[in-house]
Amino acid sequence: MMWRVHSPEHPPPDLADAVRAAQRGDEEAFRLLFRAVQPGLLRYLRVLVGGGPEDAEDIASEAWLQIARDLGGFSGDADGFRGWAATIARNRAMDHLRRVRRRPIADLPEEYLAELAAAEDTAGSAVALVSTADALALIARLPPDQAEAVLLRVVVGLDAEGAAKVLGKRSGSVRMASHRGLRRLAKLLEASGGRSGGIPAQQPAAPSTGKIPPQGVTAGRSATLKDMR
Amino acid sequence: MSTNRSRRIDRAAAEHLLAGAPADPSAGQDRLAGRTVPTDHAALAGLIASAAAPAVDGGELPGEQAALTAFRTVRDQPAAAPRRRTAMAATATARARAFSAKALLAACAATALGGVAFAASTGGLGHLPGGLGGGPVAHAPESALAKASAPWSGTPSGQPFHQSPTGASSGAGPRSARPEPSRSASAGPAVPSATADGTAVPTPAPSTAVPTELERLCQAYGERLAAGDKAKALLADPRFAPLLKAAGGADDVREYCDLDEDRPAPALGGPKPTDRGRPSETANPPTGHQTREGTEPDRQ
Repeated sequence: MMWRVHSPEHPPPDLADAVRAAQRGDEEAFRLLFRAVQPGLLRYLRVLVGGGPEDAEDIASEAWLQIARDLGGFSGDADGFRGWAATIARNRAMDHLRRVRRRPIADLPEEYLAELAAAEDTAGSAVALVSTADALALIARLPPDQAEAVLLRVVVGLDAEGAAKVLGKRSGSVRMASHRGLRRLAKLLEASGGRSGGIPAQQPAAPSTGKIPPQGVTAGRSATLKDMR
Repeated sequence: MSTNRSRRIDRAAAEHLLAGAPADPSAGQDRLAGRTVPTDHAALAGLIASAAAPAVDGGELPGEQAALTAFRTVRDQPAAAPRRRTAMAATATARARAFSAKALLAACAATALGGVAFAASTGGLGHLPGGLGGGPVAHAPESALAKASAPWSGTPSGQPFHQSPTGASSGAGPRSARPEPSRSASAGPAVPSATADGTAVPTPAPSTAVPTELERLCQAYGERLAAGDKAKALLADPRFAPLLKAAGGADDVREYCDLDEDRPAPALGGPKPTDRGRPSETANPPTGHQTREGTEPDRQ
C-alpha cells in the first residue's frame, strides 16, 4: 500500500481525485483515502499519545468520524487532505491527553517503547531493516516538538509547510525542530549502535539500543526498502 | 560535542531525508563528499524509511469498517442541517470519552436517526449526560467545550486540564489568538466558520513566541558570525543569553540554530522570507487545510 508520496516510480493513487469522489459520496474513494492516510496517522498517534495501541486507534476512529462528517466542506489537494486529517487527529489526541493528564510523547514510560514495538509489528511486511516499531520508538525518544515535527514529515508525509499548519507553528520553526530531531536521531543511532565505517552505505544498519528490542530486524533488504518508497 | 562531527547533517541533507529520500548512497553525497562517515546518513535514512514503511499489506486497517460506517451514515443523511450535524458530533464525541469508538458510531447513528438537534439549537451542551470526560467539559456550555477542544496549548509543561467556562485559559499567556469564548458560543453552530479560526490558529502565543524570539536571536547570531564576530565573544553578550540557555551550551548554539557549518550565513535565511511574509498569528483558515463552513477539525 503506497501512502508515501515521494517516489516518482510509484506515484500514489490520486488522493485529490479520491477526495472529490468521496465528497460526492463514493464509498470506495473514501476507503482509498482511509487506507492511504490511516497507517501514518496511527503511527503518529501512537507515539503522540502513548498508552496502549487501542488508545491511538480510538482516537483515529474519532478523527475519521469527524473526517467523514466534515469531508463535504473540505477543499484542497491530497497533501491538504493529509494535513487536514492530521490536524483533526492531533486535536483529538490533545483532548485525550488532557483527559488522561498526560503530556504528549514526553511522558512515554520506558516500558511503553517495548509495547510500541509490539503494537506495530511489521513482520507482515518484512521489508524494513529496522522494524517500524523500533524506528518509531527511537523517534519517541526525541523531545516532543522534534518528535512531532519528524513524525508529521516522515510518517504522515507532510512537507514543512503542511506540518507547520498542523502544529500551528511557523514552517521555519518546524523545519528547525525536524532538523534538530534528525541530528538527535543520528546521535541516538550512533550511541546505540556505534556505527563503524564498515556498513555499506546502501544498507542502513539497524539501531539497537539497550531499551529497544531489535525485534523485527531483517537483513539485506535494502533494495526493497528503496523500491517501496 | 564538537562542531565538526562526522555525523553532521546539514540542512540540505536533513531536508532530503525528511522528504523521504531513498536510502541511497548518493543521497547527499555531493555535500558529504570528503566527509568520513556517510553511513551515518544511510543509517538515519534507513531509520526513516522504516518509520515510513508501508503498512502490512492485505489486512484491513484498524478502524476501517468504523470509518466507512461513519461515511455511509453521513452520506445517507444528506439533509442533515449543519447545526444538527454539529450536535450529532458533539454528542457522539462526548460519549466517546466514556465509551469506545464503537459506541461512538452507535451514538452517531442513533443521533442521526433520533435527532437531538435541540442540543445545538439551544447552544448548550448541558443536557449531555454528566460525568463524561473530565467534569468541567461535560457540564460546560458549548463555548467551553469548544475551548476545551481547541488545539492543544502546546505547553510541554502540561497544564493540567482545567477547561472551564471561566477558567478556560488553561495555559498562561495571551489568548488573543484564540476565538473568544463568547464568540464561539454565539457563532457556534450557526456560523461554524467563525470557530474555524481555532483550526487555523492552533498555537497559542506561548509556544510560538518563544521559538520566534529564539529564532530572531539565532538569526542575529548567525549574522554576527557571518560578519566575522567570534562565537565566544558573541555568546558573552547578555543579549544572547536566552539563546545560550536554550541551546544548552556554547558549543550547541550553532546546532541549535541550525547554522550550516559550510555556510555561516544565518540558517534561517532560506525559509525566513516566506515565513516572514506570512503573519503567523493571523494564520487564517485558508493557510491551513481549507475548510469551508462546518468543517473545523477541532470542533466537538
